Amino acid sequence: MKITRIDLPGFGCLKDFAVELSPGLNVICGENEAGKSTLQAATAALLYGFFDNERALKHETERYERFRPWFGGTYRGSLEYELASGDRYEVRRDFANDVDTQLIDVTTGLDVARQFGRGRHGNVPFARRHLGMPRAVFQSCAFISQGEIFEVTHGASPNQIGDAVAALADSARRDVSAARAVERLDTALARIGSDRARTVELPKARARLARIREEISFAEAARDRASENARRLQELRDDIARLRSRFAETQAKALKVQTAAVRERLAAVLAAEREAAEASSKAERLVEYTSFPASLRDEVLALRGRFAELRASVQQMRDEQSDATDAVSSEDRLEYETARSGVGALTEEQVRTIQTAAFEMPRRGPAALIAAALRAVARALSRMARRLLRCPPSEKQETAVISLSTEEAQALLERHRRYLTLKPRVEAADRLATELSGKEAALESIERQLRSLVASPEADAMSIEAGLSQFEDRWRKHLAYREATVAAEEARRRLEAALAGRTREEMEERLVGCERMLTDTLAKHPELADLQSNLQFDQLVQQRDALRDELEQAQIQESALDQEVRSMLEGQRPTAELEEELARWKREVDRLETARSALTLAREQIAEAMVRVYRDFAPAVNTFLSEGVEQVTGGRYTRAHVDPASLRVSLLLPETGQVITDPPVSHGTRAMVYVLMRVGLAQHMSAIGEPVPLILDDPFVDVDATRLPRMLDFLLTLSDRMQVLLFTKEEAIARWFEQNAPGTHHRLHRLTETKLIRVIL
Amino acid sequence: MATILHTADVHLDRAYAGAGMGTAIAAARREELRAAFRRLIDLALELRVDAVTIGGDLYEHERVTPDTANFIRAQLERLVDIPALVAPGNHDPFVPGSVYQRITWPPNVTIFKGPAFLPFELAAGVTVWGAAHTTPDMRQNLLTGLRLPESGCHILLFHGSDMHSVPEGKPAHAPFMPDDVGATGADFALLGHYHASRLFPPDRPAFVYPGTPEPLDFAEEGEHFVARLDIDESGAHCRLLPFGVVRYQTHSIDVTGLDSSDEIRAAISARADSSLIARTILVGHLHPEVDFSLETLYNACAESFAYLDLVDQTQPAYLIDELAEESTTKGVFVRLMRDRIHVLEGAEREIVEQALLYGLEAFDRREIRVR
Repeated sequence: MKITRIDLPGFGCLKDFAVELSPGLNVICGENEAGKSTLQAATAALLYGFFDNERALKHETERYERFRPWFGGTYRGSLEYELASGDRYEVRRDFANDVDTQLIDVTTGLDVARQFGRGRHGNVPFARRHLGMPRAVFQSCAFISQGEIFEVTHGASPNQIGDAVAALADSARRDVSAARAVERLDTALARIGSDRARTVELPKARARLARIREEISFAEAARDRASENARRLQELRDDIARLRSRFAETQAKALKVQTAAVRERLAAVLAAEREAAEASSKAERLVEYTSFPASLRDEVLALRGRFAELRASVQQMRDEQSDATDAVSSEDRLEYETARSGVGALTEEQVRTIQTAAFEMPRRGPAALIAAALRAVARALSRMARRLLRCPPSEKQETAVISLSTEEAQALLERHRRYLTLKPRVEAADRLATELSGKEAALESIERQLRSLVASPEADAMSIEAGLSQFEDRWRKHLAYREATVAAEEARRRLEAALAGRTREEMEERLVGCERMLTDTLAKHPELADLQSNLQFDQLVQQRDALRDELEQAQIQESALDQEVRSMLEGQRPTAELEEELARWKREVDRLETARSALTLAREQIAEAMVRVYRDFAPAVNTFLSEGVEQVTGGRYTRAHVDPASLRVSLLLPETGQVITDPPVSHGTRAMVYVLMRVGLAQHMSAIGEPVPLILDDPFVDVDATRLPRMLDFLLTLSDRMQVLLFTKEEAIARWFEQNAPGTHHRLHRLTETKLIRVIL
Repeated sequence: MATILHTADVHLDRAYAGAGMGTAIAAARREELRAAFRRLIDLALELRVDAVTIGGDLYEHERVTPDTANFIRAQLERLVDIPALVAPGNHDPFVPGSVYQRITWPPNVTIFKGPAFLPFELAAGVTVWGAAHTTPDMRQNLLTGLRLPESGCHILLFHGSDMHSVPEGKPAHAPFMPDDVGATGADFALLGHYHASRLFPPDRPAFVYPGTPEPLDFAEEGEHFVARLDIDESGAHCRLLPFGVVRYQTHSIDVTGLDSSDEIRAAISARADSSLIARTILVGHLHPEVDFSLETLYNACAESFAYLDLVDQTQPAYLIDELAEESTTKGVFVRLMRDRIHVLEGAEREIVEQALLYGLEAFDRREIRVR
């Protein structure tokens, strides 16, 4: 780019200012405050405007305000330039109204500003495009001022000059280098920390995060355990509920059975008491029979039996005797007696004789048989007679009979036969009488014995039957007494057994207690009202006690488990807090890790960018610097070298061929080196290779008279490649120009002194 | 005949980890949820309702503390003889070890314990049928096969997803179609799950989502309600009662044109409200000279709000495109980073974007503040 014309109707101290610039070296000469700096500022403002941002920055506004026209005139200007391509443009800006910038294509006369779009604050970024650099780079590279040179080179070594140029190459600012940027990134990285560090942010955050995770893990495990225990607790509670139900059921059964048993026993007690009382009362009433000789009863009974038998026998015998007496009439007895005394004396032989006599009849047949019979009878009669007569048969008697006639014999036989007939009857009667007599005696004996046995005051006056009856009655009463006594004893024994060491009142109380418990239980468990059991109370109690033990055991477990669950939950920090803290430290770790990655990446990429920039920049500046150094040092140094890694400068001493790193050169030489490097930089900084006009603001103030012409000569040479605008107050330079820069390619401009008037605001 | 006060989705003991709140601030938010539940009980007592119903997600099972469990019991106990019916939801399912199972509840409290609807005779002719989630991810329709008796008024109480309103990508819990409610023969359904209140259909509501009684995060800005259901001879009539007192509010501040962090602070403080849970999003182009630090701004302004969430969405202060045109190391660096940014996404892109800003800060002589 070459600036061909600048018009400033009003800009700072410049009013109605216009300047035509040549494409080569332009020396703009003027005293201090003549407007040199204003013109430089106007050049930048016309190319880039005052404002870069959407809204003006303070320093932008200050600069804008500073260059409001001091002496009137419209705050605006225009600048014409020509690109290396030959295209020519005129930029027109109305600073006063900050209206749209116009960019006129000089060839067509058309405003082409819109082709460049609009940047912030209405900027038309044509200069960026045409120069290939933004304002900052343009200002940093194209403008070289005396103050800057002094600042950089005063007391500095060439290496430091190289650093300053490197900073410009890095950031278009002398005070910000990529190396320093990398240091800052390193500092930030160090603050975040590496994985091995322990005391910086990231490891701390990670440690904290790990602790929180551990705590959460522990809490989750505790919660899982608590949950498991809660599940077990619920199962246990279900078991307890079942056990309680079974216990209540068994208890109800036991209470029912117990109540029934107690009631039954109480009833038994009452019955025993009643029976004991009744028996005692009965015994009391029969107490007089206490000493009744019950032991005699068997004897009495035996005697009574014998008595009864005997009396019956006597009675029977009497009856028989009576019958026998009735059967043997007195005539019969007399007849018998008579017969016995007569016929009865007949022996059998006599009877046979009689029979023979009586039956000596011719006929033998039936009569014979009868006779034989008669004989037999006679004999019987005879024996009977003897027995009746109680005398032994005698021959005489038999002989007497035998002498009987037939009739007599027959009569005798008849009597004998009669005798024989009566004899058993009489004898039986007699025998009965005898036996009766004996028995009656025995009967009387027994009766006497009985009377003695059943003797009582009244008994003597009673019949034996009454006596016996009385005896029996007394025996029964004695027996009843004894039975009553035994019954009373038995009842008392049963009472004692039923009471089992308690009193009846106690039993009654117990019954009441049982009934109350049963009522309470059934009130709580009405479903058990109809419950029955076939088991015994003891079995139920055993069951119930076993259930109670089981229940107590389960309740102890439940209590322990419940406590465990509670303690597990109570000992924990709220999960929400843990999660929030986890999230916070996770974010922190993520933040730091991301930052570390970003910082590392930034560091790497800046280093990479440095390599790229320096690699491209160093060779270009090397050539340029070598040319310039040789020229401006008058051959003192023939070559200069810029290290592509650091942009530090080395110089070659032609005498020794030695390359001197950071050579101890004079200030003037340092200034020249800096200017040369800056010029090289300016040419390098265009992204599109557009030559940038070099705007120098009295850079050679400190250059001695020997070196100054060399520098100016170098600039003159340089102006073949780029437009140079050299602002100076040095007349010597103007004179040099007039002598050494002939032709229209270069131009000398003088700023008039009228511009020195300044309005103090 | 009966009046029911209905709420759901109180989410006691929820974590605010996602909202980025610190522990103390989150604890204050949790206390607000407790306060809301306390006020619900106060309202029930004041209105002398016949029942309080809770449609699930009363608390968050994974996070609920024993203290909160005792708090819930104590609050429900305050109702004395007013029945409190609770239908556990997906965040507070009825599972072993749950608060519902662990706590000994006062006699007025009925917790439904299973997915099968069980009746609760609320008043003569009015029956509330409740069901519970027994896992955190019940996917079946609880209303399937449910046929309520024809006589009397029947109210359903459960936690479920109306399939017409399931947010995209979110699983449906106990899903149902709106028509399913009427198909059961129910007169009305008191629901829980969605955090925004809704009566549906609007012209003749068959069910209500009361929404959260208080907003739970910035996605729930606006007014919050509880539902009141009046049952009389003409039917069940539901209306939403304004209830929430906590306000979440999101607003943006354009920092473009603000020259200093103090101006940004002033802009934030201008909206200060000690009862406001504010999310302030800083947008626009940040002045390059502004020494911007979210932490500093937060420290300067946070006390003026119930909670302040500062979000930085400002555009970088750097003229990246212009910088990229530079032939300087800085310019090359910007180009290198920009080239990477263009081909990356997600976290990797974020790292490179951050790296770009860190690098530019390093060039700017600034002390690098780790973001």
